[in-house]
Amino acid sequence: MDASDLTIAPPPPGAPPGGDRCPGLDLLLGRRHDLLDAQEQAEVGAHLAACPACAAALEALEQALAAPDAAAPGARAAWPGLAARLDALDAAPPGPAVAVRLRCTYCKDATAHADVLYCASCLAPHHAECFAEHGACAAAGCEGRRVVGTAPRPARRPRWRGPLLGAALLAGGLAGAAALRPGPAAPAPAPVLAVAAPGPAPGSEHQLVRYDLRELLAAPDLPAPLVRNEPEWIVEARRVLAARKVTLNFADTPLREVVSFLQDITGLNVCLAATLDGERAIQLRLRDVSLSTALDLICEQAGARVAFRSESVLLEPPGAGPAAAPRHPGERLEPAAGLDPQGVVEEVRGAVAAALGDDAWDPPASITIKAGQLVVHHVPRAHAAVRAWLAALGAPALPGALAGAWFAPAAPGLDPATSRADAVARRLAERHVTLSFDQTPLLEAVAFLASATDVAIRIAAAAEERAARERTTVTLRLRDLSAGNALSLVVASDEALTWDLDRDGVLIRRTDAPGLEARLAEAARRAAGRSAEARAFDDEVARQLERRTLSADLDGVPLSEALTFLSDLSGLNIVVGRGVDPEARVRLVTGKTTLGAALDRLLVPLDLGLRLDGGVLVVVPGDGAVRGGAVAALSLPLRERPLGATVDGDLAALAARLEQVLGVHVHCSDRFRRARWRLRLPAGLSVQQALDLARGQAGVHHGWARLDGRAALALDAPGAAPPVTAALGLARASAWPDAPPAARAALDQARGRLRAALLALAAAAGAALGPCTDQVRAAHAELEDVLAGHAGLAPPRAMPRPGRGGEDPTEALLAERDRLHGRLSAVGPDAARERADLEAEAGRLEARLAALEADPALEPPEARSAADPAAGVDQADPDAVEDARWSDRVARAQVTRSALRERLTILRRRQARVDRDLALETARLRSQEAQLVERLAELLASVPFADARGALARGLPWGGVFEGGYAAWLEAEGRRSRQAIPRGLRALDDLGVRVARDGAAWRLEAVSGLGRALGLEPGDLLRGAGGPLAGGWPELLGRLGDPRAMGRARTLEVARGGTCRTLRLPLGAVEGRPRARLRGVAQGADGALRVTDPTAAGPRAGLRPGDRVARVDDLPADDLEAALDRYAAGARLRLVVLRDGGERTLEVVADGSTPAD
Amino acid sequence: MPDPSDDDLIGRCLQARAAAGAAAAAGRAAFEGLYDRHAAPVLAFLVGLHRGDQEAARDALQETFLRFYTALPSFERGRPVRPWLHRIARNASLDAWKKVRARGGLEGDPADGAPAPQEAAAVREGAGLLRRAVLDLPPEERAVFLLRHDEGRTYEEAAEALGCSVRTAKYRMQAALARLAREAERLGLVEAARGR
Repeated sequence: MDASDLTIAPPPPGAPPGGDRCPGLDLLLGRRHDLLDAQEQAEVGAHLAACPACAAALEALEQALAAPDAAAPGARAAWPGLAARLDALDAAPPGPAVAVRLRCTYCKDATAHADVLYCASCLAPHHAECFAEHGACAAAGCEGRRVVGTAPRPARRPRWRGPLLGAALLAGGLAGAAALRPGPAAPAPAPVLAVAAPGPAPGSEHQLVRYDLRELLAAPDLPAPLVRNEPEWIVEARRVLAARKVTLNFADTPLREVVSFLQDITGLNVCLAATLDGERAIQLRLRDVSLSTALDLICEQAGARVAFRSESVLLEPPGAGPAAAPRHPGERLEPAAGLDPQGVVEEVRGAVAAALGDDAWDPPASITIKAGQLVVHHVPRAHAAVRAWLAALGAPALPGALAGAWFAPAAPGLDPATSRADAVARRLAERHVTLSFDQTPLLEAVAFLASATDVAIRIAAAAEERAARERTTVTLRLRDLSAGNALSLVVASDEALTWDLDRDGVLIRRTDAPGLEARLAEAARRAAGRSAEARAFDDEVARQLERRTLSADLDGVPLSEALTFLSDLSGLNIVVGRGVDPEARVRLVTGKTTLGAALDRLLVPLDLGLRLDGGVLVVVPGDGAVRGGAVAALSLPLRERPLGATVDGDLAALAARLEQVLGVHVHCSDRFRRARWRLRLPAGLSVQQALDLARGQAGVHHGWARLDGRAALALDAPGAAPPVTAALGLARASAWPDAPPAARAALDQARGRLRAALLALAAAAGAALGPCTDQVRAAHAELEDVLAGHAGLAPPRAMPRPGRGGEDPTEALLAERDRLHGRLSAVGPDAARERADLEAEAGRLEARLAALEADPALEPPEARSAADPAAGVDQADPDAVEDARWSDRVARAQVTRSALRERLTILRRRQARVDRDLALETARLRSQEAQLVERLAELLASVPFADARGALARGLPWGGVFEGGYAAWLEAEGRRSRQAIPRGLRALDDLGVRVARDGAAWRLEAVSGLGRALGLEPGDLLRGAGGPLAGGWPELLGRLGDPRAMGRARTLEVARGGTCRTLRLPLGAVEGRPRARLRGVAQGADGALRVTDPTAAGPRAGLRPGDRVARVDDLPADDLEAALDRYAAGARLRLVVLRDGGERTLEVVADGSTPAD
Repeated sequence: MPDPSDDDLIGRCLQARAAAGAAAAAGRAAFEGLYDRHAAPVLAFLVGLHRGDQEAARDALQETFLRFYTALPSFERGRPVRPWLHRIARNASLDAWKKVRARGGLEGDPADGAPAPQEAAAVREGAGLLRRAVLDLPPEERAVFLLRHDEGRTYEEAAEALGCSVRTAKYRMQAALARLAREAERLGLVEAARGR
């Protein structure tokens, strides 16, 4: 311890005289605890020996610091508890000394030791598939490409072939034997599922199997999960082509280089067929278009087409090899929606749980989805269930044949060209199966049939859900039965399911799900919607041609440069098509003009036309017939061009008219020319509407076509499925907001024809198929419903009947009227507020104007300098300066002033407008209200009171019989909720009377409650309520239920024996508003008032202490608060007050209740 | 027969670990011997750490010996047992405190806010008057003080038990003594003694 740390205490009384001062206590203690160096130790020791006081102090300190006795018994007491815990510790099974959880460096998911690969250079753990996907070690900074593993890995994803699937199904999932007869040994195509690394964990029958789901996940969204028949790489390539947007600029670039550029930016294998000229120059300048569009345009210039072959995107000459799927160049491929991976996991879980029981997924069973693979760790039976599930999902389709089986389902409306339904049906009839199912889950049974017949059997999602939920099982032994019959029997094990042929297979669906035709119609509708989108896109570009304006001064420049210039100016993609010389010199000198006109001027002299393709304008060779016209046709969307006079005749008449109106070539297909439909298109339609209607009447399709490089309108009448197309046409036609009545009439005719066609079809189908007539009829009824729904042709909804849960139109009208009242009362205050704002603004402006006028700074400087006595030789200059400043100020002030005046004028005008608007709005609302009241009266007189009339018809009078009033009666009789009971009836109940019509008035049949308190008696006549009552129930209920009178006093005129009495009182409960209160007075126990606040409204209106309120209006007011409860806040009350033995009447406006009330 | 050394006892415990029946019982007896030998001082230390809360100290004692038992295989044979136990005890008491604080029970160090214990020593006149002040020392200083003053450990042992350097241990001891000296003066203990 340093000397400076010593704390020096004053010498205590007993210190040795003349000696050193005593050391501090901490030094004394420090000596005990070896904290002092040797010298200090010696000094303090010497001091202690010499100074008894310090020695005593140290002893006292030690004593004070003495530790309490060691808690020996406490320690012993803890032993039994410890021993118990030690026992528990020893009893616990020895766990692994250290648990290390590995996480994959790439996907960060936990991974099992047995299932991991380590980077050979940094030992970072990876899933095998993650490493493969990343292609290298995913650890930061490590580029290792080799791995080490704990066990030899099998080759990645070897695909299991079909026979294996069958074997798996037979071995694991199905408790039965199956044999196929005479079934040609067709090679089964590769099924969805693949692969695995079956490595049974030691001591367990669980196996880890990976199922390849990638194709499933890329499948398009169909009614049921379905495998896309295209290989995965094509799907991926299409996706990339559709999704990637590119901006290109090729100027005389050889095709070879273009291709290698595409290869670089897409990462796809883009190749040139050997027969194509790689040196061909490509001229293309595109901005932000999809790769597929760009590729199409490149192909067009190169005279090639796109094919997907040998895992590459191949550009090949047309006519070489099998063609790729024909596709409109502008069509956009949707990114594959695919299945939801988590959904797949849940489905598989459910399927396995259905097969093995609810506890099937207890550990160590596990399921994950990773990199498109379903990784399942489970016992073989569960794997069998998974395979069955996958097979059900993606069983492949193969052709077959059918003849005369009794299960034959109808497949009408299927286009033989696109459908393989016949082949599937044949196969179902020809294939014979022998099978034995014992409590086999339905899905597994179906999967078996799918694999046994090579027919794609899809299960609609709803049906699948049902099968999984109901745990439907099949117990069936069949020998040598056609597959179709077997399928019928299997599906029949759940009566809610049925099956029918689909385009290329079989669909199992719920019986209440839409049938085939409905689905076809839906698909066609969607397709129509998509093409409408595409058309809208082209339309937009065409509109831009008319909207964009530019001026140009180009002379003797190459066409390609001129187009580049226009493209840059307009932001549209304009490219040079095939057969056009990009080097042709052009001249374009124009003032401000539209882009369309500029293009016309540019192209017409060169005899070129313009084509619109997927949003890209392509310059194409034209001929004299259409030059200029091509641009014009594109510039004007069809829907804006009028068709002209009525067309009445065959299809040729339509074609002729279109040619005449559009000025383009109209190409008619052979089918179109052969069709014998008669058209009647009323006058006043646009071309688009006419085409829609023609589709409805005759199934006419139209589209833009290219004919020898010219734009042309193509017309076709396929006629293959007239009802469906017709319905679609009708649906579109009926969607026009401005369809003329003549069109509507045509629509009705078409609808009649459609029905006739349907009936004929149904009859024909019924005659042909015999026993399944009912099914066909049901299907067509369904179809007709759908069509009617599409075309908006559903019969008008019947008036809702009470007791069937229908909505009450009366209540809707009442609600509407209440809403109107709300708006009416809001309009006034709103307008007043706006007006006040305007007034305030005007006031501010006027004040500023006045201030400006009175600003002393604006007075002429002469006035001030005249008052200024100082004058010198140099005054001239400052004066001039001052003058200049003054005139500047005045000029600015004048500007400000005129601006202010202008704003003031505008404000005044706005004020006037607000006033006018208010008046108009009020008038409009009032007239709306009047209409509503009229409709309400009609309704009340007819439908909703059917129950009342029914009661009358049964001899039950409206009043007088039922205890509890109208509301209770209605509630009991009509099963209506209390809220739905008209307010007028509730007012009558409130008054405690029941009424019956008696001549020009209403006779009181029964009186109770309030009515009796008011002195009413049965037999009295209710003559008026806010006006004479001459009408029926609607009038009475409308008056009594008037929401404007809610919570306010209203007058009732009651006559008895020739005298008429006027009652003034509020009726009905106050709803949704604060109730009335009188502040400043309180009613004592004896009924007398006390004044609590002389400044409040009550006392100011004249209420005094000691007053007793006898009546509020005509309401007895023994309990003032109860009487006030009937009024809304702000109501004007007429209080009859007893004071000094006399009565006096006071009027007061009620306050509102606070929430506490 | 002379008492077996700590090391012998630990050896027996470890031998019995793998065995069952009688051998296991013998191992338990050996551990009990270790417990009897060390529990009392460790408990005293823990009582200090827990500001006199006997209940909490006993819980911590159980926990200490449980950890001791679990960790026996990793104990370096031949070294003194006590510093190791103290270290486990201190960690156990800190963990107990953290647990309490996580439950929102207490704020501050393990002892803050704990109910003031009835100090058995405080009833004796004069003796143990400063024990209250000891319990109010900051935790680090208190731990050193308890080991050095009450247990009579060397600074080296205390430092090992507390996981700090000897120099730090001495520094903390010095700070603790300075505090206690101030408290003693505040209480007037020394003046009374010197005046006698």
